[in-house]
Amino acid sequence: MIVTGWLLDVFTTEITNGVVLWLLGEDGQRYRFEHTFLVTFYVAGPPERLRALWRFLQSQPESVRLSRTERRDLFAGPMTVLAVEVSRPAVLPRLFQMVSQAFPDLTYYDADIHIALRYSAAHRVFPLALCQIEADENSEVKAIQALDTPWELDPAVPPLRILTIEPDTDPGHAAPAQLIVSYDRCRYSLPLESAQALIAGLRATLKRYDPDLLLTTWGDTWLLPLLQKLSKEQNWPLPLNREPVSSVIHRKEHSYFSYGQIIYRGRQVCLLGRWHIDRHNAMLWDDYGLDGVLEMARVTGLPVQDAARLSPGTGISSMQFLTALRQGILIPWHKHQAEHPKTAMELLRADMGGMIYQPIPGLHRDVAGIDFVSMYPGIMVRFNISPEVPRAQDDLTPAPGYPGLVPQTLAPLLKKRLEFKSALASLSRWDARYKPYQARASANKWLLVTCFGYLGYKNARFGRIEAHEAVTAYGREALLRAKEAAEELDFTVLHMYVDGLWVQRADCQTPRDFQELLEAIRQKTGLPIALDGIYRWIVFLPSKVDARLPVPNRYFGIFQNGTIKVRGIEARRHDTPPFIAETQMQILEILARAPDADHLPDCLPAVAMLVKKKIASLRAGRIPLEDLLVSQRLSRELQKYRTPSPAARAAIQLARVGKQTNPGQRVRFLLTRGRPGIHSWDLPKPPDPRTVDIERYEELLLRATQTFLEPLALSNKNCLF
Amino acid sequence: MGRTLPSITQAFLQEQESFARFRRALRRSDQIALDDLFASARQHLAAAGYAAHALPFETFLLCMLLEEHKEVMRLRQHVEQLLARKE
Amino acid sequence: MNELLDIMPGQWRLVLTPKSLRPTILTLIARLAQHSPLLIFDGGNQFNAYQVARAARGRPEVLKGIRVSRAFTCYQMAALLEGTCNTTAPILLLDFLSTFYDESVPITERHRLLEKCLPLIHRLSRSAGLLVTVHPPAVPSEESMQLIRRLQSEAAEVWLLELPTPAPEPLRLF
Repeated sequence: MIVTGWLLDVFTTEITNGVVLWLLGEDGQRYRFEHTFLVTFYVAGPPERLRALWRFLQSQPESVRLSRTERRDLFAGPMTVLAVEVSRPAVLPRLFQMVSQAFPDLTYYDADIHIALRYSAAHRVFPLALCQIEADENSEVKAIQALDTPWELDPAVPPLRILTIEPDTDPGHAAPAQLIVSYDRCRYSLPLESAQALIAGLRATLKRYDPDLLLTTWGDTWLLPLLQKLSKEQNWPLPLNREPVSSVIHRKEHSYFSYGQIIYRGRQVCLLGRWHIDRHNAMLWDDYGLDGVLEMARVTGLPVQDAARLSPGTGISSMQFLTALRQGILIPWHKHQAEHPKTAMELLRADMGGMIYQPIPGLHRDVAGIDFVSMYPGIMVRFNISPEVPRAQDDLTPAPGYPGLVPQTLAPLLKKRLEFKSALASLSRWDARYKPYQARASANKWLLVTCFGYLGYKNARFGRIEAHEAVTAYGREALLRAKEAAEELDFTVLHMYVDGLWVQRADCQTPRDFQELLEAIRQKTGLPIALDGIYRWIVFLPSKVDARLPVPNRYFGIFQNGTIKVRGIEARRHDTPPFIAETQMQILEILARAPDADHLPDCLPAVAMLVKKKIASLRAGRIPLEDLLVSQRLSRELQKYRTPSPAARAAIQLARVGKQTNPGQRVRFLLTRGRPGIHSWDLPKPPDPRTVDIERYEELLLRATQTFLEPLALSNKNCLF
Repeated sequence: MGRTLPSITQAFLQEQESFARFRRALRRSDQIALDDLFASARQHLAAAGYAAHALPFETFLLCMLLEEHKEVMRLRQHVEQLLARKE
Repeated sequence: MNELLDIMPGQWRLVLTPKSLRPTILTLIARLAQHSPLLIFDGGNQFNAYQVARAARGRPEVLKGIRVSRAFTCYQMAALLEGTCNTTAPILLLDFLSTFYDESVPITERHRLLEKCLPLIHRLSRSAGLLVTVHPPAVPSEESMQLIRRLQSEAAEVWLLELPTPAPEPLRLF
């Protein structure tokens, strides 16, 4: 038979001789196939040791096929390795563990690669690819072919059946009473008190509706573990998996250190044959939603459930693995590459980041914001910066030779990003494609943003610090050439930040006026650069600590089209209470109405009235407590604090009622009068609204307001009362 | 992520800190003037970083001198304008 | 203190010090580099080139004579040692065990890599001498103690440096 449909899932189980594929057929049916698939890992080392390994493997019960073959190490070039081929992919992890423990001195390759990536590379398919499968009567795949590519802006979207289940309250905050279940046009509640009715209801729905996606809130950390527990107690299995026979996949919670921060990942529950996505535990869900997750899966080759829960670098890493697998480049199990020696002088010159200038503080009019488009990835692709490619003599010249692994991996991603950018610029906001394009573009952008950091990451298999340093060096050179181009054309450069600059010239007000400059920069750098927008006015803010000191990346302004751009102020900070962030944005909206900077003082009465109203509401207790929550991360284990931060104090309160908070997790709390001064939000007893420290919130609000008014010389505290 | 060398801002703050004893022994009004000098050096940290001198303090001194000179030029222009108006 | 870095060919010296003495070590590196080129493998991300430059009074010939490779994982450290031929310049392994304290790598692996490094350290010390500095980990553990003791047992010479005045946290580890 020949079936066409979208590839939903690829995995292996203990009893399959290869992989299992689930397909959402164009005819609306869900198909399950099996496909024999051999997986191989490679070993390098001294000949006697490899011979010993050969003998060891032959004596194992699991049948393996051994051979000597030649493959390419990215740095060392072609080398002879021992190939160990396994016919049941599920066996590989166990076998490998045994081998690596018995022979720890040998070098291993292609040992810990996700089965879905292996399959994608081998058969040139990818998650959600529209495939044509030819199978026999036993649903054994004979041939599979993708009919589209991951690089399409607007792929045909499969008609997914989505079942949404969420508790009626945040389980961390209060015990939920019921589950709200919805699918298609159906919506109903299941009370949690009767486990039997609950399981019965869900069983029926799962069987009848047979969803492709189970979308939950707190599903990973609370809901699914609870359902599994209840199902076990009731001795009534819940068909969460579509795949018969197998159990769901559990992953433990953990905190890990990344980019100077501790990141917390909650436990995960993943399904086989259908997807479970927990909105609360999905990376960047608020940013790009389901469309973005599906895009991530398509482009990275990672299955949807993994793509949804991506940790930084995993997506890019997967893409690099795909490139390597397709080209027969060995993927090392551990990164061995160390830095080539540099003199202390060279280290002084190489070890720095992007150029960050001090802006000219204050109010400026008719300022153009221009940015290099995806500067670092653009540099990697255009100038062929890759761990295995020797660096060119001069900055901003392409390194000669074939494109390296990294540029090859990034090139299609970068191209897609540029295509999205121009597509979005031409689409109207009401076009049905706008939101999905935005979501997909966001997913792509996120991957591109990560790839630079990943290049320098110590554990990145194909990372190399020299390549990372080359990218920043080229970036600095590009920014300086842009500055020179601007100054040659008599522009004033108000500010520069890594990959963007803010320029001004008396006679330039429209986009056309800046084209000459953009073209000059393109010529000088070889990189694409675009106009972010022209600000009617923009304010670069000084330091709060010392008004003499300008601060990079802290500004607010209004574009000519009326949109607001804000960086670094309270409204942008994660820990600001929503009440204050909202007020700031509302103030900005008032200021945005002024046709130009000269009319800003006219806005003052409206701003004053807004702030007065907000203060009155605050004093009258009309602001919902949720809007007053401060949200901060715990930066370390509680006992490691010498003086506990407010977040730590809130976490201590939670610990006293048995709620554990891990480093990297956020705690939410209210500011209260007297001691301890904070009240953790997720305590079982709700806080007394009368204890809220109104005066402190008022002060925070006024300070946030001053952020705007002072630099605009509109500051006149008296009129606010 | 592989950064070993302190950032130019950190290097600046360390240099400023190394003059803490000197600053303390100055009169209050002189302290304010010294603070102004350091603040003016902070205007040019990006260039100081890019310069990548082995001894960044030398670059910071040059920054302070740069700002002083700009001020001199500004004052000179102002004085010339005032004198021109008088005639 | 100046003799700390006077290592002779054929010699490898282990120096155990608290982290607070790191700036002193950097100063001594600058002093040593005035007389001879150096090769440094930095295992703790601590080669603060500014501090070294200040101690060397910014002299370029001194700074150009110091070559540095940074290792961010214990695998990289082992690879550095393995990939280095015998040199005429003395070698310094700075904060050598730092990458070995990383608990995300299984302890058996870390021991295996340390065992791999030890004969390499012996080999490299024969031409121009080699110095290893080690600092205690931020959070002491039995595992890190084992690694330190193993290294100690192999070193021909062990120097233990303590702070001259009573430290806020007494050195319990050495």
